[in-house]
Amino acid sequence: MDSNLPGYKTLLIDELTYRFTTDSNDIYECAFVSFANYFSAYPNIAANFYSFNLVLVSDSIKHKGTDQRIAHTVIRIVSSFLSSMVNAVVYVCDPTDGRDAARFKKFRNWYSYTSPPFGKIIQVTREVDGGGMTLRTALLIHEDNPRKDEFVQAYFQVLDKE
Amino acid sequence: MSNKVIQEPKKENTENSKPMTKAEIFQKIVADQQIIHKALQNGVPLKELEKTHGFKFARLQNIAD
Repeated sequence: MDSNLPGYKTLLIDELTYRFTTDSNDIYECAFVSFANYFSAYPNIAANFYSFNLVLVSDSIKHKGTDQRIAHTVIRIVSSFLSSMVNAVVYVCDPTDGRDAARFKKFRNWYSYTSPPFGKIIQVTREVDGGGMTLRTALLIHEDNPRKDEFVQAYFQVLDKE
Repeated sequence: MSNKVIQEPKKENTENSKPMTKAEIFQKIVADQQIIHKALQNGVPLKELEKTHGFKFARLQNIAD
């Protein structure tokens, strides 16, 4: 992926939400919600687990081709969030529309980026069956996060529990 | 975008109750995600979801261009 391609301008619309608008006038908003409840067995790091939510908030219009600037914008947002080297981000593909496999593949490829802003991000992925569904997830963490091994271990243990 | 607030019962704090099974965790993750997505699509401020559903969102900062 070309790391010189600029992302879209990201606006902080309230202290909880980022928004960006693409050249096609698609409007996306994103936020990070605490996942601490799911990791309460790991009190040293539970409060630092967040889930990343990216939502198209304008009317959905099918465009030809792929807008790589969206990927660059999202990478910029997530890597900025992780640059404190305190938090970890879990991305969960919404399985309810049947397009999660394709969406997950796209998201995974975004992090093939060799030199993202704010430092290198480690990505660990997992596809797990449970609750009558297959959940496709990724853990994202800054490579210099001093607790990255604890985060990865907790992520696997929660996903692999019976 | 309307400012319609999604009215659903506030969720219980589960930190002190019995641990959720994997199936329960997965179903809750997906259900919560859908609530958040619908709220954003309907122009509902996420602070409202903190009050109505007990979600806790990260406080964000401007990203330098």
